Amino acid sequence: MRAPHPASASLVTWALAGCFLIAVDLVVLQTPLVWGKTTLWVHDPAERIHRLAFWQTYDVARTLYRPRRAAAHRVAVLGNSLMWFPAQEAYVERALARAQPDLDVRVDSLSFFGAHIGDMEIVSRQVYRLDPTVVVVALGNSELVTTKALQLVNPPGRLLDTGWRDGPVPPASQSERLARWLRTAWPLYRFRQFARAGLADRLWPAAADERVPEHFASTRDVLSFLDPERAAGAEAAFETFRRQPSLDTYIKFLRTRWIPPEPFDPLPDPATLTLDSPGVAVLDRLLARLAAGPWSTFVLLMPENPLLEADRDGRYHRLGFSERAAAVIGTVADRHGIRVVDGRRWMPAEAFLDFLHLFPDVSGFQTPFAEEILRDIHS
Amino acid sequence: MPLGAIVLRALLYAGAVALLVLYAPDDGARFIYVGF
Repeated sequence: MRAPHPASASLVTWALAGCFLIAVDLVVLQTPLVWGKTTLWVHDPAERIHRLAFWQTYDVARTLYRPRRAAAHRVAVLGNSLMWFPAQEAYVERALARAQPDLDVRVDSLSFFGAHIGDMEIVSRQVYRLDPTVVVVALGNSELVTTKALQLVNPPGRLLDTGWRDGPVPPASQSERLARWLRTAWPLYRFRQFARAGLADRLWPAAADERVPEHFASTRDVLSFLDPERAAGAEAAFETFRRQPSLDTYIKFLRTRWIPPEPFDPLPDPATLTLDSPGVAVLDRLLARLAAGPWSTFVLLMPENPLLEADRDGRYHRLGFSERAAAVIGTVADRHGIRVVDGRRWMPAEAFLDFLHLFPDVSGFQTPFAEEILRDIHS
Repeated sequence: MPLGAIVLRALLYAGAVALLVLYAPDDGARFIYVGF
């Protein structure tokens, strides 16, 4: 057998290898090679299920760790799918500019689909990087509890999990803890899934992926963007609903879009949510951190579809859960002196894409949202 | 020791570590259902 070359065992070789690794880290962190993907919307509805939340999380990582444009006021928004689409940065910035044309403001969206309270707490650990002046925590009513599909911390949140000490949701295993330490210490490891996907997208871009439009002119535009094949039928059903607003016509609209009206991931009995619930402890930690920061914070209770008031049997939502969650959130926010904005009755039924989600841009949600942001900016 | 041999090996080691980190298997956790 041939003897190894003396360079293999030389300290100089290994030191140089370390320098090269630092260079790789710098490429991953500092260049658009990995972070250049802007077509974050997955066109194919079947593929969307698996890929969209990943690209949203990639976008959150990019927002947190890559340079942002300078602005006098900086608004960071923590949330999930309820917030992600209707509070796209362009929509909210436009609403803020309409309300106050001379305002120099930037909105940083830190929302991604499926984010529960543990995911938001993980993101909040890095929010200082954006030097925000206002931080918004957007909550529906499901983020504080574990359901069949979603835990307090979920796969997208785990990709961003850093820190030397355990968070309020302890890691499930020692290897999960070790992975968090490695992410904390080593940028290449922290961003490895994003770097892998970013590089793959550079080499073999998914041609059908799209940018999320910065403007929608109509509900038809939104429905076409979501699912071009069913858009015409969906718009016709939505028009019928607008002419004859009722739970029945709205359910027909949902079925035209192949969205089952029954909850995909039912909430538990409201009585199970108490001030001692694990999710409430995570909320407490999140709000304590935000209250201690040099910015103002408010919690926004997201708009709810008023049609659900007609669902008296609880077929399409968990009766009483919203009130319970609002009371618990209010109590915890009070402990930290954080304002709670109750937006649950802000929007009419025709502003909603389904029982939970608002139409982006055309719903007009960004207008009252911008007013609340301005209230904090001027306080 | 020739400089070329050192640089070549250093590149090889750094590349191998970077590839291992980037392409090591994950826990395979699936992302959530997207209802849009």
